[in-house]
Amino acid sequence: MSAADLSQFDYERDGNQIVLNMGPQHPSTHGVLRLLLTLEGEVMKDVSPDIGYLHRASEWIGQHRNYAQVTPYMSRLDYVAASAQEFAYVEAVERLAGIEVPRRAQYARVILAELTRIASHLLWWATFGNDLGATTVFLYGFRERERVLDLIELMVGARLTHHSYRIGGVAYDVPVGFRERVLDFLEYLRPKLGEYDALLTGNKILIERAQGVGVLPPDQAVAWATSGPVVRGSGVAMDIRRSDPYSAYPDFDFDVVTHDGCDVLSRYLVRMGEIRQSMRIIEQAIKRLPSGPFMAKLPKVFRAPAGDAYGRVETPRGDFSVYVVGDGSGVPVRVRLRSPCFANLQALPVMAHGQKIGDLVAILGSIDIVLGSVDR
Amino acid sequence: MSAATRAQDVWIAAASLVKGLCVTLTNWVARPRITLQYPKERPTIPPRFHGQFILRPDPNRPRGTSCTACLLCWKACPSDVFRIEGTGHGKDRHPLVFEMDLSRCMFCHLCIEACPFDCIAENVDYEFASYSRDSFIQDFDFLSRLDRPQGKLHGELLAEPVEKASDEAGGATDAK
Amino acid sequence: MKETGARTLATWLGRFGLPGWAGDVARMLIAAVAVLVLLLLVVLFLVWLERKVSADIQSRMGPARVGGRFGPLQTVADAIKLLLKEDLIPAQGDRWLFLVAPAIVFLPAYMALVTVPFSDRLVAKDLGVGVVYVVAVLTLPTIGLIMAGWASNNKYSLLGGIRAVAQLVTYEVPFVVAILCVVIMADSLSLTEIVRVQSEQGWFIFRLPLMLAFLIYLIGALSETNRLPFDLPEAESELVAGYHTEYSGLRFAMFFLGEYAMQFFVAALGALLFLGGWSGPWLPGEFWFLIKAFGLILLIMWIRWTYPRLRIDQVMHFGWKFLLPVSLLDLVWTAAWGLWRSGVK
Repeated sequence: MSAADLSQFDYERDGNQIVLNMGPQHPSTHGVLRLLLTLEGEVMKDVSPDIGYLHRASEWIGQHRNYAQVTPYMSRLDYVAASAQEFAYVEAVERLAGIEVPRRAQYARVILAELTRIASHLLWWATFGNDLGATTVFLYGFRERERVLDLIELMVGARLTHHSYRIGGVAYDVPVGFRERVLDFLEYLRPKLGEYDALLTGNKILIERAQGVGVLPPDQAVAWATSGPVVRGSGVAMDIRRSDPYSAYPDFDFDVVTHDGCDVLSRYLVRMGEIRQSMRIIEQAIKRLPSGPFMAKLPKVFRAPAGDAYGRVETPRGDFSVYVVGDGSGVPVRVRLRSPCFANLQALPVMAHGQKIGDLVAILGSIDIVLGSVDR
Repeated sequence: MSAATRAQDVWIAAASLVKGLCVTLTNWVARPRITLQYPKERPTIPPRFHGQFILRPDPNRPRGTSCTACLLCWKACPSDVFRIEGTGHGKDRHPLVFEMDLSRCMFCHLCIEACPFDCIAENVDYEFASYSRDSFIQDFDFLSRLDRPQGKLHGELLAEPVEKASDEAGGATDAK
Repeated sequence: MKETGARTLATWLGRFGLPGWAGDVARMLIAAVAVLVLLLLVVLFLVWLERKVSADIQSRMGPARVGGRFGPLQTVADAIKLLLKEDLIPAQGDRWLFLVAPAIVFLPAYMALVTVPFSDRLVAKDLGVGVVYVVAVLTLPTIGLIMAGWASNNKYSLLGGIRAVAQLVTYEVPFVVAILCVVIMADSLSLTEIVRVQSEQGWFIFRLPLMLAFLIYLIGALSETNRLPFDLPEAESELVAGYHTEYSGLRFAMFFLGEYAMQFFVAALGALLFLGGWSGPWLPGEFWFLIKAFGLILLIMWIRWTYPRLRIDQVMHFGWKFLLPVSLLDLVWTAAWGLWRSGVK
């Protein structure tokens, strides 16, 4: 679909087709997303996403606040996985200013990022099950997510919009007792994941709903610049933590989970696998936590040098990148946000073409978008 | 597809359905209910929680507050929350007007980190919902009240005990 | 109850100078009202039970405030709330159909429940062809659903209504075939007779071909009542609320009532056909019957809160290509079993 292709608004369709509006208010669009579906009976001929309902001018804010003040806004983009966005932004600014982050702070950042990944994937699992009708899955997913949020609250003071990443380190050090709590939580979660595999993953009904649905061939996945579980579910082993490592990730031993199915089920399995890998990383990080300061020494008034830098991070939804341009003052010239959900959503018509309307919910759930990230 | 594989598929499918039922049954009869009957039962809030703001009192200073109206919190705030007017000079400088508009605040904690005298803090109180917008504009007297849960000051939080480095800590540690 | 009740009433009414048949009429009216009241109370209870069961499965507490620690009056509070809501009727829709649809969904369950024997003495109206009547009446709510879907003037509702019809028609056939298996076993169409046979010869579910028939009956029942995994007509996450999207207040409550009434009915029928109805040791028959019916309801709820839902074409595929052949094979098997047993005797 080219930019000037306005035929999508031409409602004079072929006699058999109806246009259904899955409006901004809908239980399953994961936020305020409007989808224009062209249906022939139950089969979707075209899906047209209409976004922008949650646009909050985050990039404008990046140009009118100083570097430290922009960080809290980064949490609010993909509000489900708040720490992941902050990570990208502080990476970018630190690369711009040439700041070296102490190792203890890097480990703390990784622990927070991976806890956020578990929390985000649990929420995805919960909403995915709920969209397919298994309401109990929703409650179970949130029950576990609450425990992760408790851990994050211990360290950060907030549950949803964390603001613990600072330019040069983290806001506060790891509190005493955190290691024990984290290890207890990992022990608690391990058998639960097995239970949830028995409940949903192996379930014949889910397999019927998810296998062969929403196929995105690997070449298309790469062409549409999808990232994260969407591209890994199509067999392409692209993970920024491996291909373009940042922070303390080179210290840790973990697998990049991919599946070859290219359908909803393989994306599902990728995310469940990623939860387990995140647990591995957290365990290694918390057990090997180094000593040292949690914040680099920075001048009281922070000014970044002139230049630009790019910070790329593997968020639970894919490749979130921040491109920061500085001019020597305390306020950035440009903060460009590259959102994974935006790119992944563009692949929706490819995945949905020819599928039935009942599949749309499953496909949208498998892409896992958060409108805060799509619209910024 | 032969009848044998077909039958096997049916068996696997049925088994998966029964396993799902077992999981819900376990949760039905053998797991505790996690609901907290608010307001009788309340959750435990960790000390770092971003809650209600408080101004640290200091009886030796004018207006009984430690705040010197240096305006650093106002400069640090991204959301235009503060309205501060100071009066007095030097050591006697103190705020005449100190208002926070909590409806604008995003509880980012930047003001607390900016304060050089550790005057402003957040406590663990989260129950400040209200029926009117005006009540969110909290003035100096409200913020300095003593009869509320006191929070840990920024300095106290920094001085709290932290998780020690483990013996398995790999790589060189920074001596900075 | 039938004979003695009618006679006592007739003699009593005779004092007022009313003819003999007045006793019969009076008895029928009282029975009809009693069943209606029972149904409404049961539905009230079932809504509360659903909320409690779902909460327990989900590690929550469910209603715990209204009317005591277990929140028994929660449903009453919800009903009052629904009554106070604005009654919206789509301006462009078919008004008459819109108004009539909820009644058509609710009434068949009541009509069928009137013939159900609660014990060997307690039945509102015992029909010799009970099974045929019940099956015929159970097809009526489908009409109500499609009326609601069409009259709402809403694409979502229409889709919901169409799906409902397709699904119900598909699963009606194996459902009836499973019931036919029971009829073959019991050699009678009368519900009281079927229960009587079980009380003498043991519950039907313990006979192998009827175990399979029970499963088929259960799946058919889930489909008839639009319960997960067959709740496509009202699939919230896809169609907002399906065929009852446009209904509000009392009319929505009527749909709800109808749905739970149907659930109670298929559970009661299942208890009668497969679990021996009112037969059981030392407790009065009515208690056993209710225990079995509620046991089935708990099973239905357990299933509902465990599984995701199927897509409509998968529902069709499963119904026509799997369940129907299996149910027909089961019918043959039951017939062979019956022949063998009577041959041995």
